[in-house]
Amino acid sequence: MPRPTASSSFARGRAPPRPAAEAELGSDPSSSPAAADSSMASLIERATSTTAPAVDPVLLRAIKSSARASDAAIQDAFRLILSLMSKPHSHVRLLAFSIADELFMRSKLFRSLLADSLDGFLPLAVGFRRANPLPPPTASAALLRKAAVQALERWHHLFGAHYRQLRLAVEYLKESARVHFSGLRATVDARAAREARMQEIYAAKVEQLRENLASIKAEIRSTMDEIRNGLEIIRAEYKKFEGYVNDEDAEEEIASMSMRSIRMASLMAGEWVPETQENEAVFDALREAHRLLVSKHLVTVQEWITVLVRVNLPDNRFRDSALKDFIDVKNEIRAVRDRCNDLGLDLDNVHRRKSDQEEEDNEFWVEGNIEAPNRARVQSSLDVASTSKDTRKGKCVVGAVSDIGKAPVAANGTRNLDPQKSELFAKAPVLPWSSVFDRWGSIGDAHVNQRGLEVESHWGRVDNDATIPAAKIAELNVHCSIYREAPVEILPCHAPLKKGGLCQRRDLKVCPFHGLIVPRDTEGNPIEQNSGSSDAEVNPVEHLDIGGHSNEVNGNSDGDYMEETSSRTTGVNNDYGDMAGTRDLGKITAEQLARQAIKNVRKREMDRKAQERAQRARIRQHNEDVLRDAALASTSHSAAAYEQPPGAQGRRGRRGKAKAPTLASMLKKKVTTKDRIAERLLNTRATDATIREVSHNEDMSYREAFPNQW
Amino acid sequence: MWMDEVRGRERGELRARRFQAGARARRAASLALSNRKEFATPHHGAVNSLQVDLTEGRYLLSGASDGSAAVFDVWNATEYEAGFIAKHRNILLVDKQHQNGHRFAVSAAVWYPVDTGLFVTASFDQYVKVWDTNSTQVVMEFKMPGKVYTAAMSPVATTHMLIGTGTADVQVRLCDIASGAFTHTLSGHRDGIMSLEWSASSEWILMSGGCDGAIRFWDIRRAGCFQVLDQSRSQLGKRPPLVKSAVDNDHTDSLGPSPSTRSLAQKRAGISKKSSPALRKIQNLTHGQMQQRLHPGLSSSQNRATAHYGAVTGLRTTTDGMYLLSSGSDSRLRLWDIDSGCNTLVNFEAMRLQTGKPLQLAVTEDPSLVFVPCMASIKAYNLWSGTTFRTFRGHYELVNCCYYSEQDQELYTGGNDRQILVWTPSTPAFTEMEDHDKTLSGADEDNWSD
Repeated sequence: MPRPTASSSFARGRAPPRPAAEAELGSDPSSSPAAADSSMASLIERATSTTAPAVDPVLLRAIKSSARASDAAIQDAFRLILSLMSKPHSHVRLLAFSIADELFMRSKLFRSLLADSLDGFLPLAVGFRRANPLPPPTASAALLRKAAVQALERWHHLFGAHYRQLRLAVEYLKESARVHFSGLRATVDARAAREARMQEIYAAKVEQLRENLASIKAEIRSTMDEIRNGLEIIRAEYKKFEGYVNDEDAEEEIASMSMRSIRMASLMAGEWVPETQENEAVFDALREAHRLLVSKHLVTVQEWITVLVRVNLPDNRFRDSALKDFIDVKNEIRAVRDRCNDLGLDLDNVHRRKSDQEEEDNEFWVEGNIEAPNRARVQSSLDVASTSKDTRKGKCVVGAVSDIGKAPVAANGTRNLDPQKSELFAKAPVLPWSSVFDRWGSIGDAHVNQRGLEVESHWGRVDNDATIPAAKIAELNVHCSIYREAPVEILPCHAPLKKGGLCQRRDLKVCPFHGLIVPRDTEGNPIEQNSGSSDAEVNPVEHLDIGGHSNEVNGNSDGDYMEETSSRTTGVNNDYGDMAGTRDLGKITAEQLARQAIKNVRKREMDRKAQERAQRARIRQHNEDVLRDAALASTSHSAAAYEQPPGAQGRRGRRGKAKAPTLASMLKKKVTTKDRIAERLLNTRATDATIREVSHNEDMSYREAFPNQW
Repeated sequence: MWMDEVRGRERGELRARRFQAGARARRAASLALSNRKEFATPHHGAVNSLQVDLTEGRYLLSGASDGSAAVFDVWNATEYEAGFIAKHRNILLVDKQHQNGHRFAVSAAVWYPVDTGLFVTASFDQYVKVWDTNSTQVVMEFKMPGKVYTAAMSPVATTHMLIGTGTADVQVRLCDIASGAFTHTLSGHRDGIMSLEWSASSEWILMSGGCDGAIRFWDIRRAGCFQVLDQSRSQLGKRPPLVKSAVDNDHTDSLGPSPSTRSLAQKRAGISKKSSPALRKIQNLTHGQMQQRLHPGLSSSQNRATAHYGAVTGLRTTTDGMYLLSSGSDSRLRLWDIDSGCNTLVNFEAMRLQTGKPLQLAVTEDPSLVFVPCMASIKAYNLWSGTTFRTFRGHYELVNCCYYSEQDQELYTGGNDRQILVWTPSTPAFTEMEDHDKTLSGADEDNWSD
């Protein structure tokens, strides 16, 4: 369709058509056939007066084709859409907006028209002004807002350069109204920009690499050579060392044979070379080199590889060769590192090892021998250290050493002691650690400065020879133990419940619902021990009480008390067992039978009551249903809300067929029966209401008491 | 018609002046939001004041509510977006970060009328500051007794360099840049002064509009105000036709308040409409032997006259200095004859104006159009008929100020949405851009895929 060329010659500077002129055009019957106008109007009317979520594509196509026909049709459509956009109904606005979007993307005239009135159009579509937010159907309003913001972003991207109004609108919404744009385009742009920047950096790096590739490689190679040499030297040293170690072992008499054997086993397992003072320097150098290799060279090589992989260069030859080199170097480094690890050189953390060793030298509690702390110190420090080292590394699997921490006495002490002593050990109580152990078993005086450290006290002169008399020490070391109440485990009632399952109430003696708590089996039936006598029913609880208590006391650290209680419990147990045994047979008597009978009668009575109650509830339910049906039938309003059987509809005499949802119904709140009743109650007079309520209450209570089926 | 005019000019039928005026009027009539030119706003608050310098017509000075003032080059863009959108960035900015920047909103920013080396800003922090443009330093500052609503310098002054300032205080103060002191304190208003305007024809005449609704004329050579505009004193038409006797009686100084012409005008007004007794009384008074006493304190009824119901928010004289436009918080625009002091009874069509803020109006040079910020839009009214000529819509929030650059026939508007918009004639001044546009606007074409 050819446009008037006069206007397109001043395309950019077209004066916006004055509203007056527009109106003229619209109403002028001589210009473009009135039929087209009316069809456009009716098409848009039809397209926007549905509750469908989107415009019917057929209608939309028709609108587009008729808009394409003439400028007047577009002006007409624009005016119509503008008027529809100001309707107080978000769904209408949503549909109108989608049409506007279609036309905006296609027609230049529509674009210029809309751009000129964008400042009025936008608040209606986005609703950013607090004074006039988007109208009611909130779902549609949210959709409209989202669609409008998205469309605006698209428009801005496509036509922003040609319409200052679009730029202005987007800027205003972003900066001042703080409307959140999804900004898909922006993120894509930003990512591309970032990518480009990264490429630049990579290219620069590669240039740099081109210059000093050789030096980097040389450096790494030299470090690796250093390590290899170091390993060689150690291996050579070890040949001599082997003999020395054996000698040492021989001359030093180590009590624990097991330790020795373990150590030898670990030595056999890998070609492990122990570190001694002789080869310490080599080890240090080795560690240094290893650390350099792993923490610096390996990391740099990996970095370079990532850079080379990511970079995009016009000339890829250098990149490929460098990449290949680096991968080779990386593999080499890995090989060296693995070799070091295989050899069991703990090269990673030198400092930790050193400090560990120092600590181990000082500690004397490791072996946990209370009786003879000296013995542990007599044992060679080397041995102790190496043992613990081995365990830490986990190279040798030693069962004997693994439980050191758990039970020191059992593990080490008993091994080579006479059976009498081990018996004593078994009896001995386990005490929590305290300072008492410092002076366990000694009865002499003690030095005040028991550690023997020479401390310059700034408080004044210190008497190094001061002693504490033994009596005082005994007074201070009086052993006390704190009584801790044993946590009593209260057993659940476990009586069977009507609804199934067991009663989980935990009461001490009596369950408020099921009476005395008796031991029961898994289905809740009482295990009839000695029926009738209350004594027996209470008994198990008591018994359990005592049992729990004694267990706890076992854990506690008082020897003779424990013994006493344990013996007492066993006594009780025995007692009880005897009693049960004797009474069990004799006591299934008439008394028991009678109890059962009473129980049965009661149960039947309860069942009957429950049945009655259920019946009454059913009747009440039925009555309410009838009432509700009657209420529904009496109001015409609820016809649309509820589906009714056809007969009921006919009786109502209103419109027979179910109404399709209309635009107005979207705005209307769903009225429930409850709302209606509440409204009616509010509307009628207060006295009326109260009278009715009183009578209603009476009625209800009556109905409650004497339910009749209506 | 355009070609006709050129032909007429060629043949000498059309004088240069008229040709120029015709071209200007035509361009002014076709103003629209410019797509080619935009100012990147550096402000974070509402733009309160806009002025292009009076010497070159090149530098736009803006003052904003965040306490900042900026200068833009109107002619040369700092960058071009998408090839043809000229983006003008500020070439100078003084804001709160500046060591002597204003702490609160800048209510007015005006150029020193003689050159662009100085500009003056007035702010709600009770200071009026004079800035050196080149070093962006404060060269002088005046502490005021209250919030400063407006500041004005006379565009025609040759013998003084006074800044008229209107504050929340009732007095108009004149600050002298030469001495750094207040030279005048003009009392008469009963409330703060929202707008000030120097006469465009006489450097001694200052007009002030107050929150009490009065517009007072001051001759700064004399004590007191010599005229209080009264909305009920009116005349029909532009100016009463000159009567022989009046011409005979008239002084040579037509700008000064000549009692005889005024009384004549009053008489004419009184005759032309049903004169109220009060008016008649004034006339009698002026007619009598009290003629020598021009001090308006003489007549309390005249002294209490109001020009608007509510505050006078904006004043603007036409460039020929004969008429004064005033806007008030009663949403009215009034056109006054300065000489006679009469309301000309031009009925400007319905408008709604901001009430709490000074407004900046703009008038074209041949007084034919007046631009008024009406809430979120700017309306152009025909000055003589009062009909709406055009409504400029583009701002998203209230518009505070507009400035019409006579030289380029461009309208600059500033509003609460922080934007400074440029409205240019849609007939381009330079036509060589046209084919450039052709290539670029290819994207903005009809695109009917179905």
